[in-house]
Amino acid sequence: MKNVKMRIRLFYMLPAMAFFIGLVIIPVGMSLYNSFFEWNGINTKIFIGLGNFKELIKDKQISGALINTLKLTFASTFFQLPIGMVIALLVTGKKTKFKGLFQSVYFLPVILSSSIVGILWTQIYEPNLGLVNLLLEKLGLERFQHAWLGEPQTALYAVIFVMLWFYVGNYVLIYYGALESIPSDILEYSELDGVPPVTKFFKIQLPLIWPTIQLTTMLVVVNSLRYFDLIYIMTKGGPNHSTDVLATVIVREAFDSMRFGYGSAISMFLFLLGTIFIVIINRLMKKESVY
Amino acid sequence: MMKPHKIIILFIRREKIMRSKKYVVSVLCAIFIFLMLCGGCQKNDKDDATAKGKEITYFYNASNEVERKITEEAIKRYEKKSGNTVKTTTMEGESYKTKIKTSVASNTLPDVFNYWTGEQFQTIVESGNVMDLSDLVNADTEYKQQFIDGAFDEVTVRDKVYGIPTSVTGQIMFFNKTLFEKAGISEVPSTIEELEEACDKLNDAGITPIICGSKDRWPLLGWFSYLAVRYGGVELYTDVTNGKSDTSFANPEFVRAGKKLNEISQKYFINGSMAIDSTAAPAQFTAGQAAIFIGGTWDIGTFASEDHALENIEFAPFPAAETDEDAVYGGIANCMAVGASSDKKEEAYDLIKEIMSVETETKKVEETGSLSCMKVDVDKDKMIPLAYDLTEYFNKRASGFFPYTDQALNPEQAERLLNAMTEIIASPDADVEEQLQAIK
Repeated sequence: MKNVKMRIRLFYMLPAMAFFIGLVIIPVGMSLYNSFFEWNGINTKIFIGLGNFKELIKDKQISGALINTLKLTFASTFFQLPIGMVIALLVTGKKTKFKGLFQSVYFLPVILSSSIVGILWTQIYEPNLGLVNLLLEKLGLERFQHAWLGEPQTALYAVIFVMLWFYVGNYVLIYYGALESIPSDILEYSELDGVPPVTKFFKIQLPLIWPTIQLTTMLVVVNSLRYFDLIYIMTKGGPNHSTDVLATVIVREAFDSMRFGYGSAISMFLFLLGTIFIVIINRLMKKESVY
Repeated sequence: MMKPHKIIILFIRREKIMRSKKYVVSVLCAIFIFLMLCGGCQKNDKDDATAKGKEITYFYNASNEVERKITEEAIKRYEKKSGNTVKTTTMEGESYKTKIKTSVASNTLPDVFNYWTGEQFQTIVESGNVMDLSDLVNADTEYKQQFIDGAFDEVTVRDKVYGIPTSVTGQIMFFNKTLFEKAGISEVPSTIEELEEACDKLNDAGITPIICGSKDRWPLLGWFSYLAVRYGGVELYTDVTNGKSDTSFANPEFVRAGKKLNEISQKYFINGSMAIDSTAAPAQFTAGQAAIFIGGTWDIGTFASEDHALENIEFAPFPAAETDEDAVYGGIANCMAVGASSDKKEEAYDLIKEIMSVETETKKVEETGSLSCMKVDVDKDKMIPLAYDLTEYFNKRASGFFPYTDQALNPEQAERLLNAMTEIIASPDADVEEQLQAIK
């Protein structure tokens, strides 16, 4: 390949870099700046140094939200990825009929807008008129009926379930692509050698698509840490903060209570959390690609 | 080996197919791009007709469809008269409040917008984001005289007028008389004890006593604030919400109100009320899901939307406690204002005058049953009977109003208040006093 001058390379990168700097770096920088102030968005900013961060550490709604965020992240990682993988495996088999149909069906929820999904599932979970409780009643399982989004004990898990349903299609698609990209002769040899399917998966397919696994893990963790849409639409963080995650706390503190300095401080905390997680995942999943 | 000319024919055929495929794909791409561009530059049919007019941005939240329709008609009248176009954005109440607050922080308030009155409005005024309308309003005595006395009090901050008052709203106890009869309740409860007895009868008859849209939190204030005023009186309420220095929400009468709310919610609220929001609650009440609902004048439109539902619904004042305090929760609670950065002050003012005109208000009162702060002459026969009765009650028999709690506090305190409400109804042994203490 011809040696392309550095200048020219940078020149081609310029538009994307400009967007990135303008829409990501600068706002994050401004947020960091604002987090050292007490500001209600209207009056002048009052410098309070680390005051917001000190309050953050003591704030009980943040520690509650943090726990919920972590619960959400773990549930997403350890349910969405394996389930996505299983479905992808089922769909990639050469003998599977209606492959195209299955692919579309699993991917369909992802195309829906999160607002629609949120409103739809709020209706399904409605305590007196919704499908879930109605179904339980028809099956004679009334004692399992709950106000799914109205009770602190069930609300978070109800929302997590919808999230799983909503986004698993993403990972099915990614894993499907990755699995299909494995050269078919390797798989044929393994079948000829009489390797059982489970071993085939863990010893052959998984190592070959390891970079994809790394990617999806990072995606799911980062997206879950900052997740907002469905939670805000279905419960707004209630009832009684039982479904509060860091993102909903930020919106509430910044926009409803009009404390932009404090909201920025929490955002910085979330940013830091995300960075730590990515570093940890990179370390844990470091593996030489097998080719 | 095939004969050469056959190879060529096959080759050409393949080329043709490939080319036709590429052709089809490129045509499809062109169509897509064309559609995207077309969708992006959707032309407003209004633009052609009034190309030389100015565009005025207007944010508002209509409580129900009928009100929105009437507002749109007023806007169209204005557009015809002035040659300007109006670009509206509407959304539901709580999200609307967040949108306005966000616009205030980013200095992007529209030309005209609705808002509630109270300390939250004052906060926005003091941010310098609301245009001072004193010169226009004070010079326009003819317009001002069309309003009822004291209408401009709520929108005046430090002797300057910052908005035009809109509706008079209030919350009151609505009940379904058919369900009451079914449970054997012959008299409408007039004291809190009678209310609880009635609810017990409803429970025994297998009817859900009370529905409340607790998910949106502010409906709970319909219960809490009424109880607080019934136990403590309007003066105490005003002192506490106005921020008099030695008052707090944890005074004995308010704690008593909180504890009563806790009891009532545990025993009589609909199952899962914390999952029901403020639009679902009146809809379900209209459908007969529960017997009692503390609703607002804005809900009458919803009651009217279902055939025959209005026949079953009646209102009563919130039950009294030991005193005969009968003030209504509400008042002149909304206004229209102009954004300070607007360069179309005159046009904005004219738009407001068209929307807040005797013509529009008369229609609103007749069709939605709201109360107006303008002096309107309504044809009783055109009004929904429930709305007419309620108007008569507010105008003639109620002793006065006490303002909405969450608007009377500043944004941060209001958040804590709403928070406390959900905590209070969360469990039988909620610590009411602690929750109320945290508000101020």
